[in-house]
Amino acid sequence: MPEQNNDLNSSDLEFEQALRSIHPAIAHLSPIDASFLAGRRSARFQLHLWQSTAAIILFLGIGSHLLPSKPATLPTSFTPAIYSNPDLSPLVQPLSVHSVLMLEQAVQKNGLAGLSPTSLPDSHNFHSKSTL
Amino acid sequence: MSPHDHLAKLLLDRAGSLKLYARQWLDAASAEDVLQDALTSLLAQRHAPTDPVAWMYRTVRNAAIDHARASARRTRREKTIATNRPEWFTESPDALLDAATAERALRDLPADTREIVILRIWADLNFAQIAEIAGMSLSAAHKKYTAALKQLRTTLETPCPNKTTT
Repeated sequence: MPEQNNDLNSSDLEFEQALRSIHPAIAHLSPIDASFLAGRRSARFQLHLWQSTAAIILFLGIGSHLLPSKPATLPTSFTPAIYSNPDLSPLVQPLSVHSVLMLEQAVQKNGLAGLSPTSLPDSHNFHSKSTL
Repeated sequence: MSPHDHLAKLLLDRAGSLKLYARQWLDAASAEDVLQDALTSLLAQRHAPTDPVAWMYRTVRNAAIDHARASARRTRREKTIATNRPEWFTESPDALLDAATAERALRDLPADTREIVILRIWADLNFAQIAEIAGMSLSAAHKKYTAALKQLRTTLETPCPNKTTT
């Protein structure tokens, strides 16, 4: 009881008790509804945080795909170095004396006598009777 | 029992008193809506208030005043209807005073004084809590309460001229 009760006389205290004997009307409350709403309300911040984070990540992902990629810049004093592998370079082979080019050159220079002797394989006379 | 369950039980135990308090500004249905919101707010609190009882009455007071301002026109219309029937209290055979007469006597009090009486009698708060909730000094709250008791006694202890004895 409050400390100011000392200022109230006995009849006042008795009247207070009489007033307290009247009961206020019943209030119909739903603790379940209140608990549900309270839970949803307390989770609202976290939900918005996750939604915002996901939206930012999505935005950045889309933006990185849509933006053109920056071209690579070359230094002004760039001198390309050409590497050559002598082992892989094609070798100039001397043409054969039987090549068309060499034969033409030989005929133009010395006529038919300029042609090199050709070793032909031995030819045998072939008779049909020998097969029988 | 978790702290929130304890607070919810505390509020539910005082639901009638809180509703009576909210009725100073609102009709019955709106008062219950405000109480339901207060219960939800209480359960959604991360940390329990230091004085949960005073917190509840203060929350209900603020919400009721906001609600009353938002629907002032509707409240006036329903207040006129509400004055014709006792709704603040329940009729009880063990009551030492007539509920309807007590309600009428309370309605005749100034609003700030009536608030103090309700917080003192039916919310069972001390004058320090009442002064904090109502936003006035301790001495002012006590002075208004003493004057209100005197007025209520005069009204309630005067026999009703319309009441017929059998």
